[in-house]
Amino acid sequence: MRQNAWGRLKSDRYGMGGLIIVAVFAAIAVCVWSGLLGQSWSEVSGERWESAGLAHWFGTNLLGQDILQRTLFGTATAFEVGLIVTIMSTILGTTMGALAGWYSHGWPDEIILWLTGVLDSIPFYLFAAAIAFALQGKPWAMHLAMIITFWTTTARIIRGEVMRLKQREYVEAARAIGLPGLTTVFRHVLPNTYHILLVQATIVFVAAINTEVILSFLGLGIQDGVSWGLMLAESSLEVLSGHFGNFIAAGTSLFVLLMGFNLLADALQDALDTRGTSA
Amino acid sequence: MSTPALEVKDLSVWTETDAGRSQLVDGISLSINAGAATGLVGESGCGKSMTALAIMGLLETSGIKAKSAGILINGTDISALTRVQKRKVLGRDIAMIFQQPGNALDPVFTLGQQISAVCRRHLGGNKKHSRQTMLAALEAVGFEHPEEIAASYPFQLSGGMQQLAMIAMATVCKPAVLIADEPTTALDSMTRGLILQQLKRLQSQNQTAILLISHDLNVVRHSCNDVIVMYCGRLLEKADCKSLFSGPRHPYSAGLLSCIPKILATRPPPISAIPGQVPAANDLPPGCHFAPRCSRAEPQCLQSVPGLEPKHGAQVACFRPLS
Amino acid sequence: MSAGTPLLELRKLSLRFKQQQQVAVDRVSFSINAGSTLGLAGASGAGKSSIARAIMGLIKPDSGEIFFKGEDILQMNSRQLAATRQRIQIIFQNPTASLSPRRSIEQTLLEPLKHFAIGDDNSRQEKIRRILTTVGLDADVLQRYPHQFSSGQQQRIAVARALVTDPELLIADEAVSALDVSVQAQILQLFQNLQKERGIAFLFISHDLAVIRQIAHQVAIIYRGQLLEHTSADSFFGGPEHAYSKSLLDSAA
Repeated sequence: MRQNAWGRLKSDRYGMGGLIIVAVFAAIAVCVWSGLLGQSWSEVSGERWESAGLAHWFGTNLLGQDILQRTLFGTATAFEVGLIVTIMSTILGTTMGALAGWYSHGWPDEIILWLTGVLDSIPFYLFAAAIAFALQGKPWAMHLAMIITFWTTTARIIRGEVMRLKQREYVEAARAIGLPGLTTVFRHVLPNTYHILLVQATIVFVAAINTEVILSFLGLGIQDGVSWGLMLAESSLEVLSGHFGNFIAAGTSLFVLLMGFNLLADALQDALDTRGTSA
Repeated sequence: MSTPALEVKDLSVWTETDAGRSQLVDGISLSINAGAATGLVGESGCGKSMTALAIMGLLETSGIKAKSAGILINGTDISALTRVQKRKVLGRDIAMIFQQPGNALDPVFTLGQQISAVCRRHLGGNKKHSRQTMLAALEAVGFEHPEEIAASYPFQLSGGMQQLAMIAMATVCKPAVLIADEPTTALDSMTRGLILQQLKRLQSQNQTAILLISHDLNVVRHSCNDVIVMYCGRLLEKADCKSLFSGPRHPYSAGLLSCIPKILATRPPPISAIPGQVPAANDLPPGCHFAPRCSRAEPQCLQSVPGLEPKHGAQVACFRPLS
Repeated sequence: MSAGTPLLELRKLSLRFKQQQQVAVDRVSFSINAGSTLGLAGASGAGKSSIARAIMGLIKPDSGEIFFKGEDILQMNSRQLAATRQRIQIIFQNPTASLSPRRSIEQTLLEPLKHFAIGDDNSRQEKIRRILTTVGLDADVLQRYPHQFSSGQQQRIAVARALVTDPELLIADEAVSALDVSVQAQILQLFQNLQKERGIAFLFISHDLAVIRQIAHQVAIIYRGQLLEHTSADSFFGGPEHAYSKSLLDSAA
C-alpha cells in the first residue's frame, strides 16, 4: 500500500519534477543552516548595483550586497518559516479537529467551531499587523500570526474526517471492548487521515511562504535576516531605475519553488487518493 | 429461427497491472431472443458486471480492455461502431439499469428533466411531446401520479421508487435489449417483487430481451427463462431455469444451489459449503478454474479447459458433469 | 449462576434516539440460554441493531435491564463491566469496515488481549495463532493488512478478533448478509462449529429468515421496536402465530 503510493508518485513525471525542485531548494536551505552557503548575505562586498558577473553571479543590490548570497539565505528563510508554521499549525489543527469531531455537537465541538469562525472572519493582514505590533518586533511574531490563523482549515478538515470515520464499524469494535475515546481517536481514527493531512500540510507550506513574502513586503515580516519578500520590497524601488537583479532573483526563486510544491501536492493527492477509499 | 435480440460473441475483458494480467472475462458467448429473459449468475468477482459494461461499451475510458468477435443487437454489430454512432445506439436500442439507483440518477435534476432529456436526445420532438412521452413512461412503470414524480428530485424518492424511475428512463425509447445489473439487491423483498414485475411487463409488452445479472439465484429463478452460470470469467453452465434448479449439471452450479439456505418446516439438513475460495483474477489456476475446489476433479481438469458443450440437456463446461 | 439461569436476559429494554419521535426499542424482553442460538429477525430499521448495540454498551438504553449470567450489565461498575465485555463480542455486517485499515491483522487481534491484560507476550502470540487455525486461516495473515483480503477472509478475521477473549456470547449483526452465498455457507458452518466445540451462544441478527432457519434454535421477531413473537425455530417455521410473521415468511419464500 505505501509502496503502491510511492510507485504511483514515481510514475507521475510532473510530480517527480516537483519533488526534485523542492528537494533541491531544501538542500540549499540545509546548507545555509549548516553554514556552507549564503553566509555573507549582509556583507557589503561590492559596488552598488553591479550587474551580474564573475564576482557576483546575480549582481549586487542598492547597498552593494551580493544578491546571490541573499537569495540563498532567503531559501533558508522560506523553509524555516514554512516548516515551523506547517508543523505547529498542523499539530494544533489536528488536535482541535480531532476533539471537535469526536465530541461533535457537544460543547468541545461548539467552542472549537466558534473559535474557527471568529479567527476566519478576521482579515488576516490586519491580524498579522496587530500581532506584530503587540509583540513589538519579536522575530517570531510573524510565525505566531500565521500559526494562529492557519490551523483552522486543518481543524475543519480533520473534524469532518473524524465525524465520518467514527461511524465505521472498526471504531465501534474498539469502543465495544471498552477502549477510552481519546485512545480510539488517536489509535484508530487519525491514522486514517494521514493522506489528507499530508496534502493539506503541503498546501499550508506554500501558503506560509507566500504569506511571509507579503508580510516582509509590508515590513511586518522577518526582522533579522533576509527573505525573498524583503528582496522584492527592495526591488520595488530599484526597478524604477532599471535594476532588475533583486526582482529577478527573488521572483524567479519564489515562482520555481511554489511551482514545484504545487506539482508535488497535486501528485501526492493523486498518489494517496486510492488509499482514502479503503478507509 | 429469427435473429436474437442480443448476441455476444467471444467477449474478453482484462487489465494489465504491475501485479500481472487479470483476466476478468474469458471469451464468453451468449444470445438472448426478443421477449426472453436470461439470468447471468455468479459470485462477486466472477466478471458478470464487467460483461455488462463491456457489452454497453462503457469500459473504454476506464483503462480496462475489452474485445469481442461481435456484439449484435438485432443483427447489427455495435462493437464496430464509431463513438458517435454508438452514442445513438446506447439508450435507444440497448439500455442498462444499475444496482444503486440513487447513484445512477443525477441529484441536481428532477426525474422529469432527466427522463425528458433521454427522450429528446433519441426521439427528437419538441418539449411538449417529450413531456408526454416521459409521463407515459412513468405511468407505465406503475406510478399513479406521474406528474408528482416528474417534479421530484431523486433524494425525495425511496430506493424502490428510484429504481422504477430508472426503469422508466431506460425504457422510454423501447430498447430491444435491457441489461439489469443487480437491480433488486439493494431493495427489500416487497419492492423487489415490483421491480421484477416491471421487467416481466417489458418482456411481454415491448418484446424487450432482458439480461438480468444477479448473485441471488432466487431472484433469477422466478423471473428468467434461461440461466447462465459464471465463474472466474468463464461460463460454466447454460440451461433453462427449470432444468438448472431441478438438476444442475456442473459441480459448481450444484454446489452453489446447495449453499442456498431454504425455509423449511422440518429441521434443515447440515449446512454444506464449497471448500476453498475463489482465486484472484491475476492468479487463476490452469485448466478448469473450478477444479481445485471440485470434489469430482480428475487430473485432466487441472490441465485442460473444458469447453461449453451440450450434455444431458444443458450446455456444460465440464469433463465430468452430473447427470 | 445457577443451572436454570439464561446466559443473557433482556427485560423491558427501551431506547429512543435523541432526534427521533419514535421509540427505537420498545420494552423488549427475551433470553438466550448458554450454547444456543437465538435468531432475531425483522425488517431493516426495526430496532435489531439497536438492541445489539445496547447489549455491547455502545448505546445507553433509556430503561430496562440486561442480565448477563444473572447480573445487570447496566448497573455494573467499570471493573465488572470490563470482565463482562470479554464474555460478549460482536461481529458486524461489513467485514471491510470492521477492521482498522491502518493496523496489521496481528495488531488487530492483539488489541483486545492487551486492553484486557490477558496473558503475556508469548501466550498471546500462541493464542492468536491457535484462533486463526480455528477460523481457517494461516498465521501468515498476521503481517498483512485488511485490504489485502477478500470479504470472506476479512469476516473470518473479524470472528477471530471476537474469539480472542474467550467469549461466551457472540452477537452476529447481519454478519453474513454482505457475503456471497458460498462464503456465507462457510461462515455459518464456522459458527456452528464454534457452538459445538466451545459452547458459544449466538444472538444471530438477520433480515433473512432462510439463513436464520439454518442456524437458530429460537426465533424472535421485531417489528417497529417491539418483540412480536418468540418461539422455537421449529414451531415458528412450522406456522407462526402473528400475522406480520406470516407475511415475513411468505415474502421470503
